[in-house]
Amino acid sequence: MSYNINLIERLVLESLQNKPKTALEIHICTSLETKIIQGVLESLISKNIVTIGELKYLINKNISDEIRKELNNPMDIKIELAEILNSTFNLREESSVLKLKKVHMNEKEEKLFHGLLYNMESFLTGLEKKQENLSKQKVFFWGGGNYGKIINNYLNF
Amino acid sequence: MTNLQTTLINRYQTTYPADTLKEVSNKTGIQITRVFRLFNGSEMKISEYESFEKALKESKNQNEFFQLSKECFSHLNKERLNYLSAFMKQSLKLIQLKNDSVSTCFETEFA
Repeated sequence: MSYNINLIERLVLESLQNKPKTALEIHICTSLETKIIQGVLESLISKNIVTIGELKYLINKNISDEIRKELNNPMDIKIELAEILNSTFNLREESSVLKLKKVHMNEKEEKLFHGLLYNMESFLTGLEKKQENLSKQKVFFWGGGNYGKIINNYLNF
Repeated sequence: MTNLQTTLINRYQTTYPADTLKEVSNKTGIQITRVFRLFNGSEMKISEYESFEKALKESKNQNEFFQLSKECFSHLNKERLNYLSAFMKQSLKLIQLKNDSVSTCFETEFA
């Protein structure tokens, strides 16, 4: 049985990553409603993932291996990714973009593509990480694979 | 009572044969005393007619969902079932966080 961490809980945990926060500070950092934050904190505290110290909430540094394993459950990560894609798809007519292309690439073009991808990743990694308001962050995802293998995996899943 | 009204009430009673007046009231949003009068021949308003139709439609959707779940359970492999189950758990958890009112959920794993 896994913990089934969801996008909202992940966001609250990300807000606590650098320093402990009060519920109000979490609200400022995430823009989530306080009622939802309260529910998330209760859930995370019940699992001992978050603790309370000096009136602030903080991530438990001594999280058990069992809980750590639950938090990284591949099935839940898969669902999380699917939910991100789903929400981005729903928002696609506003400010979000979701594109997919099926193309043939020769060896040279693939090398060029990986080079471009490397540059893009370096650019994103080099951007300054700010903690003020996580909800103002941009989310990007990329990836690709062999069409035949993807279809094959889909058929066998 | 009009034929249309009789047919509608009959359909409702066939779909929900065990419903008490209170349960009918909860499902339709019509006051319990009014439900009693409707079942005893009082003429329905259009809004009440629509409430009964809505309750019947919800039952149809619910039945389709349960039927689909059963078929999935019979035909899908355990990996797909675990995936769907995880998706449902996540959806339920989100509602719990938003409403804080849904009772704790399933812990099924198709191992």
